[in-house]
Amino acid sequence: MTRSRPSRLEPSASTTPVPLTFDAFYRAEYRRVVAIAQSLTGDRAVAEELAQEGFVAAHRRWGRVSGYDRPGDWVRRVVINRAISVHRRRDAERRALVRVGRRDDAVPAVPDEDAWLWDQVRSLPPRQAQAIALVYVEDLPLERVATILGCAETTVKTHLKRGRDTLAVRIREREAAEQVDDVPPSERPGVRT
Amino acid sequence: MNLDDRLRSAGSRLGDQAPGPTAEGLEDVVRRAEASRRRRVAATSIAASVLAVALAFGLTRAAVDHRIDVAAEGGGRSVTTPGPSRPDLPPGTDPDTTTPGTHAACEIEDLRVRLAGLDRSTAIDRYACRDGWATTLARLGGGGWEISLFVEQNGTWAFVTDDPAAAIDTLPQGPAPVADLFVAMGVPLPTTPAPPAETAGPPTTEGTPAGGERPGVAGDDDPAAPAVTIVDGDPTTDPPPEAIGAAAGALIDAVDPVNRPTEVGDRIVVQDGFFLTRSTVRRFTDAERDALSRALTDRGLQVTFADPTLPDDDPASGLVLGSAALGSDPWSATGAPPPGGYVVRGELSYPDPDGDHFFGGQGSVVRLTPSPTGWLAEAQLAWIT
Repeated sequence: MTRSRPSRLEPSASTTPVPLTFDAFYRAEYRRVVAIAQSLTGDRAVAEELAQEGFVAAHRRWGRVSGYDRPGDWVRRVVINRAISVHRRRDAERRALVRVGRRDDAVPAVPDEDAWLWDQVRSLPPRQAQAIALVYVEDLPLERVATILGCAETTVKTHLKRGRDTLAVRIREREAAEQVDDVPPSERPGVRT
Repeated sequence: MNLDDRLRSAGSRLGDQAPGPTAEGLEDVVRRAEASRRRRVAATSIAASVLAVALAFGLTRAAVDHRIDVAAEGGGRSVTTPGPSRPDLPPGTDPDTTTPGTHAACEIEDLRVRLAGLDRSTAIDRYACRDGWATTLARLGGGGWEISLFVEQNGTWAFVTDDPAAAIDTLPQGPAPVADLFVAMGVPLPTTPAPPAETAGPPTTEGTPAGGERPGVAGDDDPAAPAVTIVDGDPTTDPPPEAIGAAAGALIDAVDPVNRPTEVGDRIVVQDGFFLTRSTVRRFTDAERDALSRALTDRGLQVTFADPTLPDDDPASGLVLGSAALGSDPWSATGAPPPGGYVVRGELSYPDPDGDHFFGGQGSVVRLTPSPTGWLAEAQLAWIT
């Protein structure tokens, strides 16, 4: 059985070779890769560990990966796949604990409202969550998101629409619940004094 | 604020708060990548050195190589016997000239030269030679003892390994009784040699022989340990598809439990397989694919036959993390199968249960060897990552 893939992270023959050192690549991409990983894991330390793993994978194959049009997209795919893998996550969490234990810098807290929103994103089906993360954290065009996810652009649009629809429903439900909470008990419908 | 803006703002804040790269982080990446490379190189190097002497000695590659990775993984195993006292010799053994059998062209002096060249020891305390194989027990300068295995090669002794467990595990038990040599040297065997597969249990098409024990398995925590089973069949013809299925089942059973898919809905991807013979490479037949599917589904796994043309070890393929391309590892297509037998390689990989990024199972190998009672099916994972 052959699985067709509409988009591939392959080198382009027409690309003008630009020497890219791994060092420069790491420095240029690291922050954004961590941000993507954090949106999908909800944990900064785990996100950093997953990003490290992604760059380790890239380093091991640098001869090939550096020839891709966008080596960073290769790393993103590795990281977002690992972020949704139970086993990979577990390993990363173990290593992240060790890393966190060795350092003393404080991790800034994500604002509560944002944290709730990302929780909701993570509760979406994995592909929807990945599409939303790539579009809204990185502001990537759909064409690149499709390449990273290994699917067609129309599929990305579908994932995004479904994800947004679900999120919109949950936000409305939450806001409705908060409005109820804000109303004094005596003024709530159905309550007689 | 609408949902789009809300998501964009939250995403922007997440990006702003993400830590930047550090020199330590970069060093960590490089160090881990290099360590990973070294592990692979070590495995390949050991495989190459042992194979080189074994092949020169007229042995087939497949007869010796399927446990070489165990030697590589077992780098922490002691290769010395504790000093300062000499290990006791078995009763009736001459402590100074233990020579069970003959050693044709090679002289013991050559062993001393070899050891000196390897800077391994200052003195050989004992040696034993038999059928072109030699073991030496040498006193180390810093105390303790070291046992080494050599093979006769073009009139000299070629160093094979100094890991007793690796020697016993990787080298053939029949024509070169390495274990016997070690016993003759009075060195406690670190592992019990695998019993002949024919006596391991009655024929079965399941992944493990009847009785539950898997002969030749060093331990359930050893991911590279092969599982062995005997499948009925005519060893003078192609192995029956059931043998493929049995071997695949054995492979599943041999997998490290940690990495073994166990959850409902787990899938296994079967890289559309190759049969290797001495001169030909062919794909699985439908019957063989069916047998593979049955063996895997019997174990609660879903089976997907993947496209073998996609690149290996690349998330861009989204299919297989492993050795999909022939010739990409020591188990390349040029490797000879066992006499009259077959090697099926790079076939099985394990997907993450909830994603399409795969782990484990690189260089998965199923080996089929004719035996007096049918086909001996062995399977193992060459590496677990």
